[in-house]
Amino acid sequence: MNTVLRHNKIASATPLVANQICHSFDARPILNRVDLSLPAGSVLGLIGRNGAGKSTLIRIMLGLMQPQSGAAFAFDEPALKLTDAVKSRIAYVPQQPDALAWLSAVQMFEFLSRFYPKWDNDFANQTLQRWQIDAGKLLAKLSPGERQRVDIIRALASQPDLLVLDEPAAALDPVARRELLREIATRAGDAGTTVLFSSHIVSDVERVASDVAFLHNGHLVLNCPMDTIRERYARLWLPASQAASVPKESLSRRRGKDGSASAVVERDANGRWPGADISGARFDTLGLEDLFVEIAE
Amino acid sequence: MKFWYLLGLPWQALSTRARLWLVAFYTLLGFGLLLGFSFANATSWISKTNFLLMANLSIWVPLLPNTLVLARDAHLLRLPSVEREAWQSLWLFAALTIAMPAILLGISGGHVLAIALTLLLGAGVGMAYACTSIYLALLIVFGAILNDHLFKLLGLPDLSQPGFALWAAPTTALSWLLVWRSWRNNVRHNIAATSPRAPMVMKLRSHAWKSYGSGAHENAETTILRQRSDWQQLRPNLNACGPVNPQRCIRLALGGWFMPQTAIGRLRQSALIIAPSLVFVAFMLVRSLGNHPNGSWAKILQSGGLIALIWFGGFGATMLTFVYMGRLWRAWHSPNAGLALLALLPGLGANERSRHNLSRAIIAPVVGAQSLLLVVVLACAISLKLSVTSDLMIALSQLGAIGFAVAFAFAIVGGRMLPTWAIMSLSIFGCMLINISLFTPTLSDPGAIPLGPTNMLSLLEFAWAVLALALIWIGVRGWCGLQARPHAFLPTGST
Repeated sequence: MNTVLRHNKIASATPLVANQICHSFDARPILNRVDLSLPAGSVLGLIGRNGAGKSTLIRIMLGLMQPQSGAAFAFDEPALKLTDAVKSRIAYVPQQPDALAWLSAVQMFEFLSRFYPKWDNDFANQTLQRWQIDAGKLLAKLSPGERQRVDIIRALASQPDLLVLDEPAAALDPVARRELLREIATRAGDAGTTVLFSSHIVSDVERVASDVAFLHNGHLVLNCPMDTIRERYARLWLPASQAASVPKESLSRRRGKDGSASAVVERDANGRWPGADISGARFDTLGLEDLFVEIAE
Repeated sequence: MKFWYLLGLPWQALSTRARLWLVAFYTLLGFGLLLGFSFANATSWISKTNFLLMANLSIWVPLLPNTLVLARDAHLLRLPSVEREAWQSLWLFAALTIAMPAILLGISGGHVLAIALTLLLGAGVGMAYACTSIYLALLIVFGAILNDHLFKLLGLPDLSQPGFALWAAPTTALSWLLVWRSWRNNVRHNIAATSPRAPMVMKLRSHAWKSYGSGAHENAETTILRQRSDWQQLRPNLNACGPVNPQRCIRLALGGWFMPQTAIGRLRQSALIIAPSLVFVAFMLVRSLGNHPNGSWAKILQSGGLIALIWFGGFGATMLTFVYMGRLWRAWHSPNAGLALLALLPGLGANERSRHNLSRAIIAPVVGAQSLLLVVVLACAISLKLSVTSDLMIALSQLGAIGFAVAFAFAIVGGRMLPTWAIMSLSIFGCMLINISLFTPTLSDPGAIPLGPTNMLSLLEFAWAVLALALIWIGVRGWCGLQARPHAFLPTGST
């Protein structure tokens, strides 16, 4: 009875939650009070510049690192103390997979299949063939792209409820990237797999993510559904005479050579643009890539 | 102008640190050579050639191989003028250190061909030592140490005798062939400094010996595996690797020599380790043969073979400890290696259980292998009929290596490693004690109490007690650190 209750509890739990995570390396803050929640069934694209702390946040959320403060939870369990039941529902692909380099892909799959009750051996073998990866070759001897694809197959073959991919497309060619994105979309759509993937390739995020989170300077500057980006964020342009009136709550601000000012602003709770009442103000809608550049630049 | 530039090029190719070391080395060597000249009868051309040979070795071993590396780097970076200058510099040094002295000594009555061959052989062997892999370099060192014994054993004519060129010429050609082959391999395959095939000069230049285990080369493992031939690869055995046997799984995920391997794979790996040790045993036998030319084979085998086995056991245990420490250090400093996989792998047990499994998985194999070595070494010591004190000292050297392995293993996985200076100091102190406890009994007369007549034995006992306390403190501290961690597979530096 307890097992059934426990199973139901895990099944209905939130796949990933980060509460007030703070972390720094060599006294340089990387994450500053980051809150992030990943609802079941969502596909969250975590974007940010190189070194923004995406990998660190992911690793903390999975319990692979201990944050200096804050807490992370996976399926409502503390990330640093996951039970086997939760672990079997999670698959993680690091940015540069380096584990088990002394095994071949077939050996690695044979070994790992013993730990995952839902392991899909046919999928693993067929995908290896489809992606033309030498199954008998040592993982260390594969190219970085092949190695990453083997790890992605490994993650998908375990049929996880939560799939976490850290820069999965970093070493992949365009064809492999498309296939991966298709696979993610299929998994999320058909099996309801929750996916968190980090990337700085914004077009990939736009293609498959249902939600997007933007990590910048240690802060999560935006976290919203993908299809509301254009409605929620805009670039506010102000003439030189009004440049000093840039709203305080803007996400970024810059001055033009002619003295004009521009800023990224978010609609307030009433659906109004901050600064809309300033004379000469102009609003431009922004795509995700423009938004990324405007904030990060 | 170009002459001085080419002359200074090998010096320019060195790092500042290497230059400082070389200055210290040359200062000491200069004093040594001066003293040698003062006390030896250096009037004959043979003595002068031998002195020049030593001086040449001091240039061709530590200085000029770097110029060859410069030529290689320039070749790979497509900088033909730098590559050309590096080669020109080497030719200039060859002319100045080999051709010119041979001609000058020839004019003053020496045998030009013999002098040139001697100096060319010295330069070739020196370069070969620096430019080939560590395995060949060790063979060259053994060969150099056995020089006198080999001369006696094989009846080789020396510099002043007529048949000198008959063995010196092919040996010289072979050494330079090795240098040429090494350079070609390096240029073609761009061998990483961490690879076992990397030349000594590359390892020293890149500090690969230091950073190998430090996590500075996160992908060092992959690079090494990639550069190994198929016959050198480990043969993992996946049988019984699963949730039913978590310790075996942890060993598989950590890789290296202690992971579960097939019987054939294990034999092959053992052969790869034992083969070089046989060279060492052969080296000791040749040495004994040289020391006792008329001794019986039984005596020679006993004094050479058994002592060689004891030394091999001692070296083996120490090397095993340091290699193992390096592997664990690397694993606990590489976030993308096996730790992330182990941390999220279901079936390794809850936190308490996984800590226990990890402890056993990292300690049992290394202690098992070292215990085996301890048995072999003690059996050899008893066969040699050494005194009880000697047997205890030899056993202590092995137990010291085991203590290091256990203490540092816990310190690494518990995230309580000491600062580098402390590790280095303790390692040097430990190695010194191990070597004293290993060599003193084997080099003393059988049955005699080593260090007996002096109060050195008490001092040694005290030093061992200090080391044991330090190791116990490090081990317990590491073990407590492991217990305090939220889970067993957290990498170091992540908290």
